[in-house]
Amino acid sequence: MGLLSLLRKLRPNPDKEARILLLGLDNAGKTTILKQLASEDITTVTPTAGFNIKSVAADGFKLNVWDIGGQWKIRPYWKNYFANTDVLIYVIDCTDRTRLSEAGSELFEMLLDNRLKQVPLLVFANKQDLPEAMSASEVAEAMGLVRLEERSWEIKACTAVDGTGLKEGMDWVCKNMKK
Amino acid sequence: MRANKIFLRYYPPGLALNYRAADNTDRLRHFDLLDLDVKTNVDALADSILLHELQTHDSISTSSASSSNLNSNVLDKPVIGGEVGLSATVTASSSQDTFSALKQAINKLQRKLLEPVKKKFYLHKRHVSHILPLTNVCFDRGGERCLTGSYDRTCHVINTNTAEVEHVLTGHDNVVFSVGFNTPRWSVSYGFWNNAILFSTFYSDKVVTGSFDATAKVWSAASGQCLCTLYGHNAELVAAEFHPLHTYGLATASLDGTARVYDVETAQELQQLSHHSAEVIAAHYNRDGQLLLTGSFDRTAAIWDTRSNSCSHQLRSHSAQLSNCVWNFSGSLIATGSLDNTACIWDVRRLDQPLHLISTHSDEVLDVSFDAAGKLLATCSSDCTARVWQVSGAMEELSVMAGHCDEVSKVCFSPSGCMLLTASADNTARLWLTESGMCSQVLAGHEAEVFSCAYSYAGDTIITASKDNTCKFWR
Repeated sequence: MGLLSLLRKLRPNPDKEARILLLGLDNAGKTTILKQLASEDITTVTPTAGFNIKSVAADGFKLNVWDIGGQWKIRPYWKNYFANTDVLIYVIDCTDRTRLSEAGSELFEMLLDNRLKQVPLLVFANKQDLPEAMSASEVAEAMGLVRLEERSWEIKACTAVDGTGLKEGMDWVCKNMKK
Repeated sequence: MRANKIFLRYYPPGLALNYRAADNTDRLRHFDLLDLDVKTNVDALADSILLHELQTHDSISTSSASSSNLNSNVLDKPVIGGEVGLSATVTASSSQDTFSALKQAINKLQRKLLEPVKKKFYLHKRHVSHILPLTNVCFDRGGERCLTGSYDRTCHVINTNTAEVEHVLTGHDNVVFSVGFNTPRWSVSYGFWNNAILFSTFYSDKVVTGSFDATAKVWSAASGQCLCTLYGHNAELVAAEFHPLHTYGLATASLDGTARVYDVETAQELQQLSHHSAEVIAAHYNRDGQLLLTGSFDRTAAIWDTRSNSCSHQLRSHSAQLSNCVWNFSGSLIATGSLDNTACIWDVRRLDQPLHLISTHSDEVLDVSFDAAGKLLATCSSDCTARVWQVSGAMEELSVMAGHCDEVSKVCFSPSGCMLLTASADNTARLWLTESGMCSQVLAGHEAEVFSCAYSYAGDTIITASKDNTCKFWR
């Protein structure tokens, strides 16, 4: 990929290309989702101490998906990546009830940024395969997503490890893209 | 003719003679020996310098070098230790002494060109204090310090020996992408007392960082203090370079489609170069700083005359975005690399079409780099290879470096030109023998792709910087 292609992927592309930002707390499953989208092996996913980028084709669009590490100490750097975002995807670990409010406050704080104004938001309620997982509607309610005004948003249940629900989510992404 | 002192510059080979001219004034004369190689006849070269060059120059020159401020781009190293300076007391056989000292000096330059083909590099230190991926890196001229830019919005000034951080340059609001030192300066003055020559050494004293926050900042290299912030761009700033001769000039390139020239002393923008119709991703001064070369995603490179603030030429031939563009040392040639899978070499005297088209890469050309003397050009590509081209005389492919298993995104020569260093997305950097294309070494150990790499000026240290948040020093 190299530094040059980072520059290329940074700019809004006039063609059918979109910049998708994949954020969420650590261990939410962002990298697994990214690898599933790119049909890559997910057995060796380790915590992301930086970012991963993959280009995924969907509905005639080339989606450049940026998966940004979610560890606490690097969350302040999320805004490095805000510019020119077409869709924001926020991933929630539905089994992590204790950190749901933390996930919510990180999200709402981030949405205040001007560069994310009117950027459509997709929330992936991940890890639905696990028995103690909250449902998508529970998560939406707990996080207060209804408070989001003037922004198209959606929450989709998914299971990143087997890919369930990802397709539906990406269909929504393509339909609601900013451009 | 009697030389008082001979100054050497190893890469590219060159020397400067301090001598007492016929009219009894002290003069300093520079010689680029860009064509010097191991086969050069030293006697003949020394002869031609002393007899022809110097005397011809003498007769036409009227300026007396009573004081001179020397720049390392022109002159690198006063020869201290292993000094080739001459005793000023010798008078009778002085011209003979000058001749032999000059030969000795040229011999030394020749030996330097042979280094270091056999040397193997080992991991010396690992620098782990960045918390996000690194971007670009560079050494200072002495190789004692280096700069690392990072997604964590800082630039670290690192001591190369200990890998310890001397300064953390904080203040940017986004990724630090471009880093650079100013040109070190040697100041030479001629004392009135006994005509002794005093020279003092200065290191690079300033650092420039260019950031995605659309600003550049200039820092004191000694204290790590921010000296000024250069505003004006309205998108990511991806290249910043000090003027080669005076430290107050600085050029920047930005994804906003412009290049700009700033005055560092006043932090004012002097020029806005806005001829490109898309992102500008490279900006390089030529040797004397009068011209600025910019490369753009608009498929062209442009040459700007910084004295008149105008675009003097636009280099059109590529059919896709440029990936880089560079001058050779003397400024007679320009190389451009493009995502159209080709690279072009341009003769600055004739810019309406490329002098030579390099089209043997089967995928995007990601970087181009001349060797120190400007006789060789290296290209690297997404096709996983790097290639070296002879650019003096017949343009021909000298070697192909095949072995990386992912795209090769950065390429640079060792100072002597004997070795080629490549950085790849396969998590390794590799060293190659320039002539044969044989892989000399794989610098492995990074856990993610290697974004950038650099050779120290002495050729004894290599830095590789990676997306894995670390950089490694190899010796």
